[in-house]
Parts: sequence; C-alpha cells; structure tokens
Amino acid sequence: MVLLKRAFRNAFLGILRHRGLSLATILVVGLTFGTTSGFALFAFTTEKIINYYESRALVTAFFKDEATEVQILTLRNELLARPGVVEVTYTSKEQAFSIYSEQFKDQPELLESIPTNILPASLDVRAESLDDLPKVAEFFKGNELVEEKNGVVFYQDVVERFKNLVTVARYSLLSLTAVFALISILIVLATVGLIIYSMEEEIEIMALLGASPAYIRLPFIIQGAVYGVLAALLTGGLLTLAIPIVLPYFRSFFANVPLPDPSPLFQLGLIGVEIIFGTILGSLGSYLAVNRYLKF
Amino acid sequence: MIEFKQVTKHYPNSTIALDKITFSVSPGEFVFVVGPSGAGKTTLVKLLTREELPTEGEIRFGERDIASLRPGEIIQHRRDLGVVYQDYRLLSKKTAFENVALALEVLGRSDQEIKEIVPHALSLVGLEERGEHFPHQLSGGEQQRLAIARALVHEPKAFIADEPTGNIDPETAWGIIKLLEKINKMGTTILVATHAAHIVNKLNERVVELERGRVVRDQRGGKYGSS
Repeated sequence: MVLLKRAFRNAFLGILRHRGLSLATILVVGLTFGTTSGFALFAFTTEKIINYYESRALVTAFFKDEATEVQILTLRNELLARPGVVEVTYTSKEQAFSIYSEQFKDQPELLESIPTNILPASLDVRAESLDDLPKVAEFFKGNELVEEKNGVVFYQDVVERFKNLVTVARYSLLSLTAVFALISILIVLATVGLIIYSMEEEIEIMALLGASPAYIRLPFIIQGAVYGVLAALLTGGLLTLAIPIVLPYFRSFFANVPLPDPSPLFQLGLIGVEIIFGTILGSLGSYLAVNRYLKF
Repeated sequence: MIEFKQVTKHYPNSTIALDKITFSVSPGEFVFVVGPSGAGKTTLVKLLTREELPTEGEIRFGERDIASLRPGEIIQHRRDLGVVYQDYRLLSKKTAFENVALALEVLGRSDQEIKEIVPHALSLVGLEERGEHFPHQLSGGEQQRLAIARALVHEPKAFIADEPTGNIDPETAWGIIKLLEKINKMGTTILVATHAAHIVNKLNERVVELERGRVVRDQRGGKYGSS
C-alpha cells in the first residue's frame, strides 16, 4: 500500500518536474492515436459504404402471365426464408405498367403503343453479400413460373467484377488499418521509451541505493499510463470535434448511403477504447524501457 | 567484515585497474584507501557496491560473496551500505529532502519516520535550510554534503566514500570527517577512498595505499605519504 502510494506520488511529481518532456510525449502519442483512430473511422465508414453498394446488387425474376400473385408471393416467402436474402420486392403487372407510365409520361406515343398488361410481374431479390446472388439466380432457373427467355436478370460478370473490387478494397483497408495500428504502437513505445531514456541515470541511482525493481518500475509505469490516458482524452476530444465536420462531406459524396450519426454512446465508446489502448501502451512502453536500464 | 582476496579487475581495453589485491576490514574499523588518480580506488568502491564484477578473486561482505549475489540479494547488500560517489549521483529532479528520503523509502520506512529522520540528517551536514532546494541549486560542496547525508541517513552497516571531501572547504571537510569518526565510534565500519592528505594525516587511522592497482602499504595509524 505504502509502495503504491509512493509510486503514485513519485509518478505525478515526475510528470510535473519533466513538464516539457511530458507535454511533448502526450502530444506525440495523442497525434499518433488521432491519426490511427481517424483512419480506423474512415475504414469503418468505407466498409459501411461498400456494404450498402453490395446490398444494392439484385437478381430480378420475370414471371409468365399465367403465374398467379399467390404463387409468386409463395415464392417470395420461400426466398425470404433462405439465409443471406435480405429483401424481396414484388412488382405486379399493374405496378410495372404504372412505373413504366411514370417513366415515359412525357412520351405518350410510347404508352399508347402497348397494352397495359404487357409487362410481366417480377421479384427483385437483394442479398446480404454478393456471394449469395448466384444461388438466388439458380433458385429461379428452371422454375416453371419464370419466363423461359431472359426470365432471370442477373449481371453475373458485373457482379463478379464488383465483388473483386470489394475484396481488394476490404483487404487494402484491413491491411492499412493493421499497418497504421502497428506504426502507432511502435511510435508510442518509442516515445515513452525516450522519456524513460532521459531518466536512465535516475533508474541507475535508485538501483544503487537498494531500491527494489517494483519501487523503481511502478512510478514509471503509472507515468506511462497517465501519458496514454491524457493522449487518449486529447484524441477523443479532437475526434468528437472532427466527426460532425467530416461526416457531411461523406454524406454529400454518397447521398444514397444511410450513414448513421455517431451517437454519444458511440463517441464515449471510442474515447473508452482510446483510454484502454493508451493505458496499456503507455504502461507497457514504460515497463519495457525501464527493464532495459534496470540492471543488477 | 569486508574482505578482498586476490582480487583482480581488468577492463575490456586491457587496463588493469586492480591486480591481485588482498586486504580485509574488521567490523567497526575506520580505513583510508589512498593513492594517486588511477590507482584503483574508484574500482574498489564499484566492486564493493556490485556495480562491477571482479575478473578474478573473491570479495566478501560479512557472509556474502559479493560476486555471486542474486538480484534480490544485491538489493539487500546495497541497503546495508551507505555510499558517497565521486560524482555524488544525486537525483536532479528531486529536492535535497527527497534525495535523502529516498534511502529510507526504499527500505519501506513510514512517512512519519522519514519526516522526523531526514531533517536531522540534513542538519548533521549543515543543510537544514536547503531541504526544498534541487541539487542544481546547491553548490558543489553542498551537493557533496547532501550525498553524505543520504549515505548516512539509514544507518548503514558500512559507510563507503569515494573522495567525500573533494569539493568541500577545509573547515567543512574537517566537520564531515569528525562526523564520520563519531559514526564509526557508534560501530559503523568506514572505508574512505581519498587523496586528502591533511585529513588522513590528522586522523591517524589505518591506511591502505594503492598504486597502479596494487596494495603497496597497509598500515595502522598511518600517514598519507609515509612508507
């Protein structure tokens, strides 16, 4: 207990008496966290955007005139029960004509030239992932209610290319986030290590006076944790300010994508994660650095 | 209490700092180790504090073989010593009070004890008014006295000093030596490496003289330059 009390007192005295170094450490660690967190948020938002576009790809099945609404709706229910299917939209012959009429309302000659029941009823199927779409297309093929010629519209080559693009984008984001995180960890360890390096003599003197490793290490570990927490608070504060400024730009670029507003809970969670990482990295950095100079 | 048996210390640049030295110090004895710069006095102190290991030979402190101490035992060994280093080794970001208190803190002494003992130690070396000052705010002599206060505050079994009066005016130096004499009379073993001839000559204590890493004289009631 006495050891812990003294460790806290010595840690805070150390921070105050190395004010300049402490401030520089907090800024460097804070900026590193900020860059990494900013990139992680960018990756997260990009993933949301990719997910949205991925879910927009669809398989459309056109039905023969003799297929009844009940039969088609039964198929719809069967599809909705399949894993990976997120949305199945039924368009009746009447609705199809109404959509067509709306689209060509400025060209009445086109509307007059076709009978109102010429357009087929259809089902539009959206899946959770692009991988699920071929299975849906397969489901329709061979079904006797579905038109034989061009009854299933599924642009497999376009979907395949999009899928490849999505895979590359995902792996790139994941790798970049991992690289950023690794660089961030190394910078934090090196920065905290540098401040301990400046106290090498202090560590040696304490060891010569017969101080135990715990007595020597603890204040530095607490000091490292405090730097991490302060840097995390700094980063969290900056991100809280930056998100409402940056998010509208994303929204204007991707107008159709429903990007959620970050809730206070999300922002608190973000700061919480930063604090946990800051504490772990700061104290770990100190522990490793002190060990380097603690020789018996 | 302290025993050097055929101790040799070579440094990697093939300097021979100590060459087969043998001598012992009994409990409660006061010994001066004298000799010119480079004679091996500082190496001898470093071997006693286990900062360095001997290349050959054996060094004992009581029952302990210093060279084969495990980390936990090194801590205890250092707590049994009070050492004044030639470069003082004060903590620059701690006040004079905190520097002295550190020697008690590492022993786990209570804050109350520390508050009572440290001012007394500071007043013994004439620094009672300088407790809140940092080392860089003290003169060379004051820093040296602070190092002495830190070495004595925990009442060590042995007090070892490497040039403890080097930067002090003769009057203060004499005061320090009288203080060491008093502590010695209370039973603490004292080993002082110095080339302050006037102090050695006045005290008439045992003198071990080193020259180029060898013991060339070991004399009770010796003088600095006598042979």
